[in-house]
Amino acid sequence: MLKDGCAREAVERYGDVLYRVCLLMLRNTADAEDAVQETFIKYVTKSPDFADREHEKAWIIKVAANKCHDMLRYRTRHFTESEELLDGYAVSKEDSGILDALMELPEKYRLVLVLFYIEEYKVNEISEIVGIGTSAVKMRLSRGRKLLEDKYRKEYM
Amino acid sequence: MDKKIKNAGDIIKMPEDMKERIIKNCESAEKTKFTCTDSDDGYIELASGTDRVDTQNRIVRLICAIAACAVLVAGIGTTGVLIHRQNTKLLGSDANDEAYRIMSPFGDFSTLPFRLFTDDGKNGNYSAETYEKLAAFLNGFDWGEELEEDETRTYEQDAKGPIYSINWFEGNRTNHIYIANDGFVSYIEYQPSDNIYKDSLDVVEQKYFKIDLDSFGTSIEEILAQDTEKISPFGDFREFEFIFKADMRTYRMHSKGTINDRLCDLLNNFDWGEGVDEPAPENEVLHYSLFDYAVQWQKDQSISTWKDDFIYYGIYIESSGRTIYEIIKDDYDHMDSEVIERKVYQIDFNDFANKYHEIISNGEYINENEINALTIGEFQKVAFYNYMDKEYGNYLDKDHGPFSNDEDKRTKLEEFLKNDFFRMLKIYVPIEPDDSVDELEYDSDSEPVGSGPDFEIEFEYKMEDEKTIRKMDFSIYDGDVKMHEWIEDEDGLGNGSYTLDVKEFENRLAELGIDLSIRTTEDDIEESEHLSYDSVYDILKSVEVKRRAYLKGYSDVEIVVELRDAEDNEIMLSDENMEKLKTFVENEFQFDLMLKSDPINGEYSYEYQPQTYGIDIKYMSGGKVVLGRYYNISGNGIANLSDCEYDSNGGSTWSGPFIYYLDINEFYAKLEECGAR
Repeated sequence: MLKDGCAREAVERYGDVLYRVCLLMLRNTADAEDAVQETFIKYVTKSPDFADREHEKAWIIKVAANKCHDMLRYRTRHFTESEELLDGYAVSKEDSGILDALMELPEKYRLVLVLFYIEEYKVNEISEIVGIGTSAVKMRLSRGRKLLEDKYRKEYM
Repeated sequence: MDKKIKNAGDIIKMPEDMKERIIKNCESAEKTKFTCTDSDDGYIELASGTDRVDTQNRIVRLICAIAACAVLVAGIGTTGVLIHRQNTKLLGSDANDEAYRIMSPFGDFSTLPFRLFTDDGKNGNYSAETYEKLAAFLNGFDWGEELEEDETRTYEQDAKGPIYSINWFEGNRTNHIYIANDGFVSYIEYQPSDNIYKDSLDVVEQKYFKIDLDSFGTSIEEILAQDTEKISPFGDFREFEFIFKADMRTYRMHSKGTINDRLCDLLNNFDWGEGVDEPAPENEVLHYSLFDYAVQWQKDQSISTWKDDFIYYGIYIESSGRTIYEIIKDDYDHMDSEVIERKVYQIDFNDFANKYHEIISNGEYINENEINALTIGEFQKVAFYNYMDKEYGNYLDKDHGPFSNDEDKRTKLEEFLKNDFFRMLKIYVPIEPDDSVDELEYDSDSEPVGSGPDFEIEFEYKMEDEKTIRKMDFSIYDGDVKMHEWIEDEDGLGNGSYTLDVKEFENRLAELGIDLSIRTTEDDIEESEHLSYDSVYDILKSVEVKRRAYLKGYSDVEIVVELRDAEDNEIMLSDENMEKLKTFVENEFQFDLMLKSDPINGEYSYEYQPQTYGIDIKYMSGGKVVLGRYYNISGNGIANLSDCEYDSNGGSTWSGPFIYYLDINEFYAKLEECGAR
């Protein structure tokens, strides 16, 4: 596993995943950068020993998800400016629409959908990362998917 | 759809410049040690040589620190639960040992504010005694081994609904146990989603059991059959929401919480005796603040949706034991109230008061988790103000405070406030039904009874980022404690409400050398004349202390008095009469007149009273108003005071309203003397 003096390697390996998760969760690039940075700093300074690479990746995503959760909680009391997140990416209108719809879902659905559909985690792995039961993950996936479809069809198609 | 999400998501990559920034900061962090690491074993390690990495949003550090400590606290809590559960297995080895209490897989029902619902039409409204029996049974019941999953459970199996359900609320957590007609038990714990979608709930925990329903049902029915809840002559207090006003405190009752249960039991079971019909005397004012205890309610109405033009019920108890029960049809401006029913009871007042005090004295202390959350961060300093002291000042100020010459006293007081004070705080019975105090915005209107606090304590803690200062202010009003928490120069973090045993608190202060017998001023009130009006005296005194303290900061304060009519137009007086009015207002009106009237109580919940006269007192300095006191006096003698402090930037801070009751005839006579009537 990556350890000692591994900041560059870690950011290269997991940077995109974390940034994707954090950006979709927080809908703000500056906050996403903060969350990713906090996660990597925690990783290089006090991460536990990992059994394998998947364990390591899951740990990093879990830390990042918790950071996002904390920041979202802070936001409920403090206004944060929204921005056009996908500016600068070569995103088709269709792709942009589905991401916009995804980002408008409640946090709890957003996270499991991102982990399931984009990061391709299995239900039991998401259960581990998010810290809820598998039945709750399934429920969120099912409801989240339904909400996403409704929103996407209604507003972005 | 699945592919679309995947493809769209994959497009997002971290910008290269961002990567480089993060790598640089991580490498810098790697080389340094950290001040606080929450290690896996649950202990906080401290080290020196900090070199923090800046984030773009510094408040995040604070939230992270709070979250980290919350995890730690949760860890301790979990361990406690595990130990507790371990103990249950050892029960047979030493059943007499109190440490080995019987506890269900859902927790100790004897401490949970649960409600049991079954199809008996009682809607969970059983006596406290019945709930004690239910708690003992539920704790000792054999729930069997926890089932792994509910996957095999079908919709049809649950479709008939539960035979029994048990619910309770703890903090922000909602807990449900559903017991189906085949003995299948589902337990779910929810918490509100901490996101912008406030209405949603997250599942925290789920458990499943299969029980012997016959055995469970038989025992439950036996217990419920013994339920002998009495109903008061005024109805069953478990059936409606009511406001209970006592000892200058207001309780709004809802069907949760053990103190609420006990108050319902008191009102339902108390021996009210026989009521006698008695017509209402003309111009009688049944204002709750004029009685020792008062209970008010509207049937079929939630307190939060009370209307002015509605029938409402009230019980008003005097210290003589004379108790008036009245049903009133009221209207918007209270001008055409109609008494529908009125009975007078003669009760044993001491018995009622003793029972009430017994309930209140059973208040539960806040737990260590909450204390940890309150004292999070590195202690910086604490200030203590005693509003009974004529010298308004911080007892912990080494230069100007009352203890400025005594370091030993300051040290001991600081130690007490930093530690023991938090352990004196008790859980508050919420004023509002869903009073999640930490989420409410600070609202000075929610300050309890009457006027300013008796004591004020202000703490400062430095957060993990070594920069952010968290401040916390505790205002203590006759046993009610209001906490406001904020970040220095920033928004508030939240509020809390507690109670404490005033006697115990004041005893500790006295031990620490604080003289609580000091009165506000030597010249304003002759104490002997007003001994029976202590509570009023305290209210006026603390308002006065605040006023004086505030005005201390200004030189050459000039007083302007304006008298206003019912339409709020100024009543013009000759110079001579205006001088008389000024003298009257500044002295007799503000103190003696009200004190010579019937006992006054303060009440913070404002009720509209049409103005008959208004008195504005403006304290001017340098040609500008620095403090305004605005009295609205209605024809029934209710005087309503609002204070407003004006700062040099044009800002203003309102406090109040403070409500008093004065002798309106004497007031009118004084106005006549001033040529104003």
